[in-house]
Amino acid sequence: MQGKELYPFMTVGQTIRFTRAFFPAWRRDLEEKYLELFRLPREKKVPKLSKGMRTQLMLLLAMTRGAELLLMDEPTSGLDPAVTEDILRALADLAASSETTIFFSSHQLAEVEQICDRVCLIDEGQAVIDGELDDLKAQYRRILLVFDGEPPRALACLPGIDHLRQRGRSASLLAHMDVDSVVEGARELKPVSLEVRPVTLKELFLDHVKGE
Amino acid sequence: MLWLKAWLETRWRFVFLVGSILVVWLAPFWITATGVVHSGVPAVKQWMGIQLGSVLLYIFTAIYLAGSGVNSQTMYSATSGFHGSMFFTLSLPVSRRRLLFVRAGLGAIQSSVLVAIMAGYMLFLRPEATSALQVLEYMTRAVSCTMAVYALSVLLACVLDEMWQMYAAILCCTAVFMLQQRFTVISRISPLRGMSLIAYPLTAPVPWLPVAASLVMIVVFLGASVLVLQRKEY
Repeated sequence: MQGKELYPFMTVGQTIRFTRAFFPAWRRDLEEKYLELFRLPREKKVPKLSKGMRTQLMLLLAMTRGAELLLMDEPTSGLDPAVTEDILRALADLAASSETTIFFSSHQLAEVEQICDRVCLIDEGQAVIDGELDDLKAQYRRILLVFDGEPPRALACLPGIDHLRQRGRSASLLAHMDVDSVVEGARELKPVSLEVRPVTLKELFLDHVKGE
Repeated sequence: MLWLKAWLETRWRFVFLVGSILVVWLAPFWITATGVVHSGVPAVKQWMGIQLGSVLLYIFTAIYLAGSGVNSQTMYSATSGFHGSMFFTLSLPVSRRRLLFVRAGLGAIQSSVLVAIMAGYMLFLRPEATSALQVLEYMTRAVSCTMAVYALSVLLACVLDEMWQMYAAILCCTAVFMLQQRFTVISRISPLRGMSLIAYPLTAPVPWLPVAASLVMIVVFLGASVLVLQRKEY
């Protein structure tokens, strides 16, 4: 997806007809749907398209070929938020409404979180988190604590804590799996306030990679 | 569809070549009409000049169309500029051999048509042929000898960027031209002589040797092109 180099001597319509000829399982219904959704003019030449429109055309060509598996590398790289939203919605719809599996890599964790069922976060070639997104979100919790004074040292010894961050009188824990017992353990340390929050993928990634 | 793509990609080169050929065709009439050529230059010499120009045009046609035919499959031009769509092409469920076959094939057809027409026109300018068979014979050898240059250009286009491919092909032709002046063996099999009416007039025996050598070169160069493309890492 990153090259976004289509044939400059073809129009949008010609590019679609050309590509369609190689894929017997081509979905004409999706072709029409995405042409309308992305507002791509059939008669416009490829070099006259904006970067976003070129990406949308590439996606149209990929998503309508009836593939069982689509591999996408940064499909929304460098696009404005409106186009990004259209593309993510189209990808999510396709994955939900057909047998197509979409594997896509991205640095935009908010996008990943928005549409993916399963994620694998990679740092320096190693998978640091791998699993169903819903499971990950259910397993991990952020526990925010505020104490009267310095947070007690026993906080770091609570079982089930992945990461601990302290600043002044407050502490932030990332708990994994047995969150309830971590919360119970934290309560016994008599914090002034205790708040349990769901975590975002970005937080998970930062906690695992940077240990923040 | 690959043929359509190849045509869309090469059509402006083809049109440019047709324009160039028209200029060469109209030149004799223009020269005659304006009296640019000194009246003392014999018509035979004028015709020889045009014939030489035509042979150069055969070669240029082959090199130019070979470049457009396969150049977007070369390593250096694959990811940028006009030929930057190679990755898209490679993503299609088409073998590299078929890609080469179609793109080189279209260029070969275009070159053959243009060379055959030019060869016929040479005979029209100075009708020394006494039979249709002689005309056909010259057209055949002009096309087959030009195709040897074309096949060489295809091979070069598989390993070099377009501009370098053209330079290299011209360099090879120049080298063959110089070698054929020195060595009789090369002179006998040289496609550059085989395509010329000056080296082999229609009244002379049919020069089968350069034609046969050209056919061998076509097979070797195109075979090597397929091997190069199939092994190339993009």
